[in-house]
Amino acid sequence: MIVNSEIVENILELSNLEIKDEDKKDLSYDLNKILNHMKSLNNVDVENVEEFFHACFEKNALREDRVEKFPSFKKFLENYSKDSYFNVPEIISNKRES
Amino acid sequence: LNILSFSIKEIKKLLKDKKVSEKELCDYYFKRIKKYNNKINSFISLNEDKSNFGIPVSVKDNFLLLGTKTTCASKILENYESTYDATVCEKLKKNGFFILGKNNMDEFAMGSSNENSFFGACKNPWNTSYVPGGSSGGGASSVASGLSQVSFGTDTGGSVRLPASYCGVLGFKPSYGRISRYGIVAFASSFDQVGIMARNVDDLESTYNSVLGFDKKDLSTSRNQDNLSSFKENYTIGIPSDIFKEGVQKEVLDSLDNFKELFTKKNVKFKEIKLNYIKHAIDAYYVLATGEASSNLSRFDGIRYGYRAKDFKNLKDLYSKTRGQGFGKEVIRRIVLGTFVLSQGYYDAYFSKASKVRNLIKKELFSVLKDCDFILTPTSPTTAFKIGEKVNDPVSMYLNDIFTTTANLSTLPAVSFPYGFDKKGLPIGLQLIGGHFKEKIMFDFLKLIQKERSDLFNVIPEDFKG
Repeated sequence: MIVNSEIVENILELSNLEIKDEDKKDLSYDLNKILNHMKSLNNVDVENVEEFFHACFEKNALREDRVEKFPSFKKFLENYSKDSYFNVPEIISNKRES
Repeated sequence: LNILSFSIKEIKKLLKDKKVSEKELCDYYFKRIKKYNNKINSFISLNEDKSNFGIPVSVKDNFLLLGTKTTCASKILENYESTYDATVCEKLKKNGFFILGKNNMDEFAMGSSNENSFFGACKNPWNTSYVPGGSSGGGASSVASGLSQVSFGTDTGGSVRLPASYCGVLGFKPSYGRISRYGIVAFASSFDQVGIMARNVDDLESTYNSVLGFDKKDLSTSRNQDNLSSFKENYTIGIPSDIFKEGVQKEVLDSLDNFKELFTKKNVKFKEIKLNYIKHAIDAYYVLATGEASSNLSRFDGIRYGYRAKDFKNLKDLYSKTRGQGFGKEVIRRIVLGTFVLSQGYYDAYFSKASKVRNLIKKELFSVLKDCDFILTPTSPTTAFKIGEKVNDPVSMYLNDIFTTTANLSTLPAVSFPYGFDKKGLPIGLQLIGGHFKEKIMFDFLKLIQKERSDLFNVIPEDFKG
C-alpha cells in the first residue's frame, strides 16, 4: 500500500475537498491501484536527464503591457454579482463558526 | 440532395450557386439534432443565437461561446454563462461557420469513454450500447452520425483521437502551439491542444487552416506558424511493432497489416522501429497531467462563479464542500492523485521523475522522426467497449490511452483515421504521429489514404440515415 487513510485525509485537506466517508475507501483503493501501476517509472534510468515541463519551445514570449477594453466585462459579474462587485458570502466575521 | 456526403468545399459551392442557403443548411442540421440527439446524447446545449448562419459545426462544452453555457459537463459549472468568446469560436464566426451547439464530454475532459458527464453518458452511434470514447465523445459521435459537419474538441492525452477512432471519423491534434486555447477551460496546460473531428480529410484541413495561428491572448501559441514540410512523393513510415504485440485486439492488428500491404504497393516504405520508452508513457502522462490538473482546477471554489455549497462554517469549509459536492468521482480522483504527486516527500519520486521520462520519450520520438515521416500505431488497443464495462476500473480505463498519450507528451501532431470495422460492426482507427510542425505532409498523406480508400470516409451509420 502506497497511501494509507492518513495520507488520503491529508491530501483531501490540501486539495480542499470534502467527500463522504464511504467514498474515501474507494478513493484510497483506486489511488493505490493507480500508484502501483506507476511504479514502473522506477525502472527507468533518468540519471543526467533533465526535466521537461514547457511544451512550447519559444523563448521570452513577451507582449506589450497595454490596457484594452474587454468587450463583455459585464458578463463576468452576472454569475455572482451585486451592483458592480462580486457578491460573496461573509467570511471575516466569526458569526458562522459553530 | 444528400448534404451529409459533401465536404465543406462542396457545400460552399452550393451556397455560392444559391442551391441552398446557410439558414437552410443549419436548419437541416438542427432538425437532425432534434431527431437523433436523444439516441446518443451528443449535445449538452444548442446555440440559441440565430442571427447569423454559416457552415454548421460544433464545439466541445469547454469552449466559451457568448450566449451559451459552458459547463465542462460538470455540476460545478452547470449554470455558468460564457463570459466571452474563445479565440477558436471567434475565428469560426469570422470565417463563415455557425456553431450549432456544445458537445457532451467527460467532466473537465477527464475520461476515455464519455461516461463521466454530469449530463449523462454519450453513446456510440454505431451501437448505442457502446461508449463513443472520450473525452470529446459528444463531438466524435455528432460528426459520425451527421449531427454536425465538423467538431472541435480538446486533446490532452488522446481525447480527440480516441473518440474519433471509436466513432469511425478522423480526429486530429496538431503540434502544441498551433491553435489558441484562449477561452478554453484548462485541464493540463503543457498537454492541452485543440483538436478537430471530421468525416473527410478536406474538412479537417480547411477547418484547421481557419483556426490555427499565433494569438497574443495565448502566449503558448507559436509566433512562427510555418509548415516545416514540403511535398513528398515517397513516404517512410515507422512501425514500433513490439509495443503492440500484447493486449491489442486481433482485428485491429489485421487492419494495420492491411494498411501496410495496400500502401506498400503505393510505394510507401514501412520500417520497423524501436521505441524503448513508450511503455512508460501512460504512467508518465497520468502523473504529469493530474499534477497540472490539480493546480488548474483550484480556481473552482464557488466564489466568483459556479456551484456554491449551501451550509458552511467558514471559508475553508465553503471551498471544501463546494468542491466535494461540485466535482464528479473521476475529477476528484485526479485532483487527489495530482495533489499527491506534487506534495512534499513525493514530488521527486513522481512528478520530477515523470517529467524526466517525458523528456526521454520526446527525444526518442523526435529522433525516430528524423528518418521517418510518420509513426504508425493503432489509435487504441481495442474498438469501443460497452457502457459500464470499465467504469469502476480506472487503471484499465487509463490504458485505452496507451498509444495516444505519446504525441501529447512529445508535443507532436497526430491523427486517427478510420480503417475498417471489427466483427461487431464497430469502427477501427489507426494513428499516425508526425514530425513537429509538419502537419502539412500529414494532410498530404491523409489525402492519399482517402484517394485509395474513399469508402472509409463520409460514412454515416444506417440508423442515422434519412
